[in-house]
Amino acid sequence: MSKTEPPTGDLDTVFRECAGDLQSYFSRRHGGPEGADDLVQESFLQLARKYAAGRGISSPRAYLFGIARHVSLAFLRRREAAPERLDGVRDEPASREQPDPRAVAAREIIAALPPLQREILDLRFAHDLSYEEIATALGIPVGTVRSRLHHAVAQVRERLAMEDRSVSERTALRFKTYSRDEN
Amino acid sequence: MKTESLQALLIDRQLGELPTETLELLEAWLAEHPESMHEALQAEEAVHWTRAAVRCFPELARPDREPGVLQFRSHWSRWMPLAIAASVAALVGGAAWFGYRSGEQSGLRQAHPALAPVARQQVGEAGPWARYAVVSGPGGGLTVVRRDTKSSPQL
Repeated sequence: MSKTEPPTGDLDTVFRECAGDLQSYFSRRHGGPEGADDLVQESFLQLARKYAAGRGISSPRAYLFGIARHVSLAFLRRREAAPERLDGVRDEPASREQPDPRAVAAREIIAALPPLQREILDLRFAHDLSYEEIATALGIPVGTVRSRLHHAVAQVRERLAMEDRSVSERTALRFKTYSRDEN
Repeated sequence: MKTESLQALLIDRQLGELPTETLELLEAWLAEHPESMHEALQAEEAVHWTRAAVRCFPELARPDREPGVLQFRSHWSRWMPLAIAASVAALVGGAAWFGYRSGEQSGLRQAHPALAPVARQQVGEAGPWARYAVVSGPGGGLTVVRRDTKSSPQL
């Protein structure tokens, strides 16, 4: 389930609860943690403006992720126009450990998905947003979030089943070869 | 229950997105259908490895690049309108050239039609046109000649 929802309208609480999540969000999207501070600040500034305008926000966390997404896209557009890099940007994956082959197989499936579907997976599995929060952040219906996520997981599942079958076949073949050599 | 519906419910259950009533109904259904436990385990595993992959490979979250897709794609999309315009221009030019050539050949055929064999109009001997005949002239072309049916020789 999603994390505890901060009380509506309390910017300090929202900041305390969500600043870390937002930092992680920008780090993942842009490949580095340090320079993400500015983008976190920018996102909260925009949220503060909404509060100042007296706009009621039912789900600040989801709304904040929606703002963060726009801030991130604007940053990427600027970077595309005039290449600039976040401080301490890292191009390689955060983890240097040898990942599990099943995680690698799942990665291949996810990498081939459309950007929106990957974004849904990221918000769900890396930032623990609920379906409803993802829908608010991305501005799409909850049903779309659900169906895209189901589709992605179903594809991963098929791939894993295929991997299992191929492992079983290889084992059986090895066993057969071994038995023949023994005889 | 359809397999797709069951899988969707199992994923939602795994992610804690099922309302309590639906969750209870699903649990009861699974208890009555122990053969579906395999499906439940597979769904659980798929969710687990999807989560693991998303967390383990943060580059999947980057919107500025398409993991697994060749990097020249952005350049390709930039040149796409120009490529389409060039294709259309080539197509139109080719069609125009083909049309021009076809028309030219057709004009040649009309300017030099194959000479018709000597025609001889057979008309009724008793008709009002019996004394007239259409013959090809020495310089080409057709000429209408009048003949006397009794004195002049048969053409």
